[in-house]
Amino acid sequence: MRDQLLALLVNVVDELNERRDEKIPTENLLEVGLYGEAGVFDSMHLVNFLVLVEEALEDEFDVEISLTSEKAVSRRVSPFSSGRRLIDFIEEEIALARDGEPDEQGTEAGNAIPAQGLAGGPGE
Amino acid sequence: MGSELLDSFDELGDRVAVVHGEARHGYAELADRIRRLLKELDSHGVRPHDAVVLNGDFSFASIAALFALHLNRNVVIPVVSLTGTTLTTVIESCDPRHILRVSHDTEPADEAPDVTIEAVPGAAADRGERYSRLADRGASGLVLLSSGSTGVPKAILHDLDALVEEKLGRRARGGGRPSSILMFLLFDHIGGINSLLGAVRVGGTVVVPRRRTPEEICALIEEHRIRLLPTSPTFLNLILIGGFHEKHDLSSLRLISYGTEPMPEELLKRVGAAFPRARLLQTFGTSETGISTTTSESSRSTYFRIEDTSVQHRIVDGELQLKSSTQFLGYLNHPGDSLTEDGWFRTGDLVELNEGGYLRIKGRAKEVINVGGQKVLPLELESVLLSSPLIADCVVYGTPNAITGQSVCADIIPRGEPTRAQMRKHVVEFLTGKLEAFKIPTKVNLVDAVTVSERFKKKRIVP
Repeated sequence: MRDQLLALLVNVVDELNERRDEKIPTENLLEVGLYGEAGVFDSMHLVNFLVLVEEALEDEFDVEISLTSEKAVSRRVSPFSSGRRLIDFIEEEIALARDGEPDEQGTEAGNAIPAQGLAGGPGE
Repeated sequence: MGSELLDSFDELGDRVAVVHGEARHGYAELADRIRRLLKELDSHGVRPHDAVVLNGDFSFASIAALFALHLNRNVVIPVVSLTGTTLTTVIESCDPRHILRVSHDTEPADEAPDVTIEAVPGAAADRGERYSRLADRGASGLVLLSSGSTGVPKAILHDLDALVEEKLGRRARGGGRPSSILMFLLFDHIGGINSLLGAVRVGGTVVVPRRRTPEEICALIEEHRIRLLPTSPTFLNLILIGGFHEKHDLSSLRLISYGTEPMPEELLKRVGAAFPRARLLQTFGTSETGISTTTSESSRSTYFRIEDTSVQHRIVDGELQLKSSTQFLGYLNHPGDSLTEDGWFRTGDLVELNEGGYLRIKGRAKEVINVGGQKVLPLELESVLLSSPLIADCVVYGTPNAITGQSVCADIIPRGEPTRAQMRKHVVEFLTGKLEAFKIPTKVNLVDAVTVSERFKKKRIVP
């Protein structure tokens, strides 16, 4: 699951990189600071990024979670301090969301990332 | 006053007042129907200054009933669809004594009356203070329920005599061809009442649609050679998207007036191209202050001027404020916080003024999206998005988040079948360079239809 989530984050960053002058390195995304002192995003770009991640999670894991919630921002250790922390947070949230609807767990578990990566993918 | 109105209808004789389905009713017939209804009101114990719910949409009978209740000095509460919750609100806020129901059948069977009057059970014996101001003046009243986006509708009380006097007092009869006007706006909407009074004022013909679908409306325009169509930007776009203006001959249209929501500039361009012979007029009004007489700077311009001797306006902190002689008397169920201390009505509309002194509506104050302190107006974005060849319609609104407060979200009806990711990419590329970065939607949803209220206004989610 963590590998799938990392691949998902890399895909989203790749998409954002297409229109950024200053590219965000994706080779070691786990250690990249997302927001804050050494962060690659300002607050607006962070929201942008998180919404794209939410969307990708919806498409690929069929799960709706919020990454911009009060809960996310009020964590003592910010989920936005690094890619790793964000994956931790997403994992927790997915587990919580799936607890709420145990019937669907079976089908969702088999839902791997589609071969083409992000659904539909960037057109060009 | 009452006999004057009926006399003037009698004078118009067979001139067609109302067309509904296959049925046509002349002005003299309308006067007769009003006289019969006055007798029925009397026999049902409907006394002057009683509040009466008038349940029904536009029809010959409902129009007659509205005038009958006006002449009988009642407080009329028109309600098109009387759901349980609406009825509860009406009973709690307006203390109605009677419910007058009008069947919407165009050709009711002979045995079935098209109007029924029933008493509201449990109405308090004393009439209370609610309508004492109207009763003191001997005036009839009108209560409009606002289609508020949140919670209970506001019950807005008007002096109906003042509204009728404003329209029918300055009568412009005689000369020229009597115009036919399509009753697109609803019977319980200030714009609908205004259209009706405007039509009657010139001895014109009121054409009542059976359904308010783009198809039906366009068919009626062709069939009845309609000259005047009061409508909303959203509905005009529905006509254009469906290409209904190409399937029907709409060349009779001389004036398309649009109101109830701001007009995106891009859409106005498209409407202008589709209806080159019609003048396009921005109307402006509120349920609280009535509809003002306006002129648009041109048919191609979303700038307009309020040219109404009975309406004063001013702009305070970007918000349009109005004071009119047909201003409402107050809310029956709501604190009067929409009035300033000096009695001006806060429209909640953000406007800007150009050098020529014309106004333009930028959006609703409460719909402003606040992205980390930066303000985004949905209309501005929608207008630009509508100029994309890949976008048929869209609605822009804010969604809350804990990082920037709100972010910009766009629901889009695409042309063609792009994926969500393709559309998002297109939106970002299309807007980059045209708008500041913070205005570019964070989230893009593909939808089959944008949410439109029953009054054909776009519904934006207001967090």
